[in-house]
Amino acid sequence: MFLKLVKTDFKYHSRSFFMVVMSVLLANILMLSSKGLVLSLKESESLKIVKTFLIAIAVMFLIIAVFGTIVMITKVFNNKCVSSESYLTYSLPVKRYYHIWSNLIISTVWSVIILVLSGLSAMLWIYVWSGKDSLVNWIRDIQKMFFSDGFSTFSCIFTSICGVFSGLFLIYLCISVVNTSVLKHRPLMMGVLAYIVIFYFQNKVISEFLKFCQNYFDLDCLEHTMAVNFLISGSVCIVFGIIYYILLLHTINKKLEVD
Amino acid sequence: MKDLNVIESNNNIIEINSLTKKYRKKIALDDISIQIPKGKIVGLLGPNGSGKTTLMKVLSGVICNYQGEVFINKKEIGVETKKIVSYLPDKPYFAKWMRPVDVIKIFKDFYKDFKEDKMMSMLDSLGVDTKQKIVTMSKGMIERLQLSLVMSRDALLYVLDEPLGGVDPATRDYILDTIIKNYNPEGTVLISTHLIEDVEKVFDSVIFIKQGKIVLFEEVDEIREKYNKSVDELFREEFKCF
Repeated sequence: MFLKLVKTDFKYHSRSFFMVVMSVLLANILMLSSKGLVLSLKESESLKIVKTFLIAIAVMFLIIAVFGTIVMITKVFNNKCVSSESYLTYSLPVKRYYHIWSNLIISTVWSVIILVLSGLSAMLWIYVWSGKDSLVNWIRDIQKMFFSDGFSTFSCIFTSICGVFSGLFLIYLCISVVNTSVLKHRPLMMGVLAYIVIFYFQNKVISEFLKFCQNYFDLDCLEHTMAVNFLISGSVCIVFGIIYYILLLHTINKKLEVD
Repeated sequence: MKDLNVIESNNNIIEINSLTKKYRKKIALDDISIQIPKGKIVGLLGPNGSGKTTLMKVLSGVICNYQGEVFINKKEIGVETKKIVSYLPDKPYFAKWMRPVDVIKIFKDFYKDFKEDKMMSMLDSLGVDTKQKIVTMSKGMIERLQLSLVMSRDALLYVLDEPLGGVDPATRDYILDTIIKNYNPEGTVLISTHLIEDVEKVFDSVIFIKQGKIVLFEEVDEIREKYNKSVDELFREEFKCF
């Protein structure tokens, strides 16, 4: 049943995320077009304006894609689990927490896809505007910073996954909490407010914990310091993720009021 | 009339003991207990805000934050009961992008008792294109589509919340006809409605619910015999506005 749910949800998500992927592609088309114009036309003032305009629009589309991913994740969960569509969701013969995990898995997959596409776009743009050497240097810097050895690679991937999971649980929790009978007034405003407050608190805890841990680690190089910091941040994210998940489960099972 | 006449049977599809549901300070269901036997068509009747929809949401498993015990076919509300309950809410639950073919796929995947051929023949009679976006359909068509989905299951309990609400008399007849022709004869149908006159002929028994309390649960024939009134007349008397 869980796999069937994932399959159904994937179909649901793919429609919403299609626009986000299109936005990334459009950003790349615009960026390549601006380079094409520069190569094919003579340098002039009007060409500069058009080029700047196209680059600005391309960057805007990429930013829209990244924020659009967060908006889509929120929208899909909101529609499926707290709006009128939830009548169908909750009358399906599956456990309620299956819906959380199904949404989580698919949202993670889409987040990774959009991140990879954005990364590739950034590489393409550096290559197009600054040349092959700049791209190679950029990749080398990234590799040195995050993937210099096994430990750095692991800590980077570990923290990314933990961050995405705890972030998604927090989004789901905020949506669910503002749809309980106690907080059901102005759910959008309350949800955004709840997210900002909790996210700020989580980051504060992470930074305080990092400060505290620095007393115990005396690392010689920047890369390893960063890797350890990543690992600590990821671990704190796990703790927050577990707390969010428990609260989310309790809210969905015991407190949620479906309209 | 206030004396609750519970139809006693060992063969109950629904058993509710001391069910209470509150929305903040408002009590939607107030300590209700009832047993509904299998194989009946039961009308759940009451004015707006009396608790009909809340009771149906509890039975379908849509809301689970309540006090008391609710059993369907001797099982607590959960995954197992959802397999045997076919629920029609009082509003459409389709996503904007959905077409009938998408919802049919979902029902086929999740409900073993879903009969696709039955569904397709109902859609044929409605003249619905399975690839048309649901959002472009008329309100009446969406309601008929949703009802067709629900009635295409061989469920043990059909929970139909206001299936006749907001539709013209011709559609009302179509809906009633669809329910009568397609429900599993071994199953029970629980229908909530305001339009009692139109449907009382199909009810075996009726439940009157008022301010979250069940004030009457009797067989329709007994009502006619005992009170010398139709269900509609009795309802109007019980829920008269002063």
